[in-house]
Amino acid sequence: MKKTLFVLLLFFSVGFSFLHIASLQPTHFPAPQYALPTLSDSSKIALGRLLFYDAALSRDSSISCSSCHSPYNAFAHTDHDLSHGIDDQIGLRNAPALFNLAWQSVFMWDGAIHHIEVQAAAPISHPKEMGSSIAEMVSRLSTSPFYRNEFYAAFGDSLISGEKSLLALSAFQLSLVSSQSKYDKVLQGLDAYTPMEAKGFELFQQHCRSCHLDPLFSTYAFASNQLPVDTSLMDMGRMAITEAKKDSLLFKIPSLRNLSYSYPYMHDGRFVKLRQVLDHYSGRSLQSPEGQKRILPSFTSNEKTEIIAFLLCLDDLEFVQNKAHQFPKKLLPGRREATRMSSKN
Amino acid sequence: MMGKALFLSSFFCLLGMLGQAQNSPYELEVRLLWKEAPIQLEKNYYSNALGDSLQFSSLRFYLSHLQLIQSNRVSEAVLDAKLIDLSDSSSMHLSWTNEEAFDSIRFLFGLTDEIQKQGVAGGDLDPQKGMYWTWKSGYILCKIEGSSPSLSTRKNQFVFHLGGYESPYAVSKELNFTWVKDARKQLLEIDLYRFFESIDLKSNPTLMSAGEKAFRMSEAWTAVFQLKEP
Repeated sequence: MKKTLFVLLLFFSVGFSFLHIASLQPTHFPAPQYALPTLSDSSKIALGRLLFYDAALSRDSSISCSSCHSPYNAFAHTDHDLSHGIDDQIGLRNAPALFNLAWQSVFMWDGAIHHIEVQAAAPISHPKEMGSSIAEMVSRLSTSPFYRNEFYAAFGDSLISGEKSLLALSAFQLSLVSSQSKYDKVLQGLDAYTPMEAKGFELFQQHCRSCHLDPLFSTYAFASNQLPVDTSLMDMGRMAITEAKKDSLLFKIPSLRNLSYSYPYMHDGRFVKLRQVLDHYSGRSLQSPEGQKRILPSFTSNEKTEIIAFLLCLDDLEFVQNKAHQFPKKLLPGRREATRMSSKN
Repeated sequence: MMGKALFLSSFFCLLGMLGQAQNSPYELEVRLLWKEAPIQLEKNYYSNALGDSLQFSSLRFYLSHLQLIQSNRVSEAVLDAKLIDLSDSSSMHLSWTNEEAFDSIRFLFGLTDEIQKQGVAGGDLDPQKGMYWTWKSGYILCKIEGSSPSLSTRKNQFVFHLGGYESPYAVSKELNFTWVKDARKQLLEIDLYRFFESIDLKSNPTLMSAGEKAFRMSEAWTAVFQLKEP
């Protein structure tokens, strides 16, 4: 009897631990651009999670991916307006939140990265972010018996390569799906808006939706946010990638999910409060990614409050508190011995 | 009787050798030259155009999608992406087997669009090889790095990273060469002296992004590719 109970408990606990992977495609979301990880990818996700949180990927073992992309901030960070990298260097842009990446085709504020599988190569190699290289990362990981075991579990081969490392990081990042906000629950008939939230939703639908299309709350196209250039940065946005004048000062439209956790806002983090963002857009002439010009109304103070009330319905507390996304226990100091790696530097 | 046996064994031996020749691999050996002599890393070479000496620290580039052509009939690719690296002599030899005769070959300097636009890959395409642009997606198709005392750059270095796959400045280029009839091996000679005579190194010692300049330089680079008999 006890044995049966034990087996049943084991079955349910294992089943529960994979539940977040089994249900990655929300029923009310469109088809993703990249295939979502499945149950068979769980060991790749686990390896990607280890790599994501391991500072050993940076040149001096001081910075991990999670340094700028904290799970408690919906995988953005709130300490700085611009990203904070190795040797206390400050980057060019506000670290973007990481969720629902499978529904985006290109990455970074300027779309510099054209495939999710190669995305992590950029921060690992950037001299102001992690300051390392894919070759150096592979060299370090290869000295670790712990990681050789983890790569074997994920790929059936303990030989560590850049390809496998990036595939694992990509699998973890694709598993970061945020779809359990109040908005999602209202959509599924499991909750209801307050009158203020409902009024805010109505205003949002009228004035914000064309760029911040639900249910992802972004079209992920490139558009001008009409902010004047920060002359200390001279960041020209997408034009730096395409070298086309028409792309000057265009940035990827961010999702409006999880705004409570992912301030400051905009590509250079210049706004800390949502009301500042609404103050900026209120009465402003905008151009949609399709080239249509329109002028937003000057929102009253009450209308701004109503819009913000709705935007807070896009916070997904389950997502930011999801333990499956957080720092993996295998990297805890008590188990550091297993992960100790040598460096050639 | 003895003579007949000797004749038969010689016949089958000859047949075997012929068969072996039929199945032996074809080879394309890449040779990086300076005025027809093999280039060595860190050795001094003199450029007339520069009016000074120069040294190479790295010479690496991709060849891909090698196809065999017989009377306008084009085979499937017999070789995919291959990273040619002067510091790795084994990378300089491309070999393949083929049962049918062919009279010319064609391949890409660079990589196919499909490879450029896909996600991460392994082998010679693994980003750990240092040929992936991390600030902007896509492979660096050719790295030519070195130094010359006459350059005013940091450490007198020149750095050419040729890449870019978007029209109109896609750097990859299809190259066609006649293959000598029945030859098992040919040399792909690339004379860097001719390349450096055709560019203005002093004015443009650094090129590390895609665009018109990279496109023009890659045209100059592939213009010095020649197929020769060993």
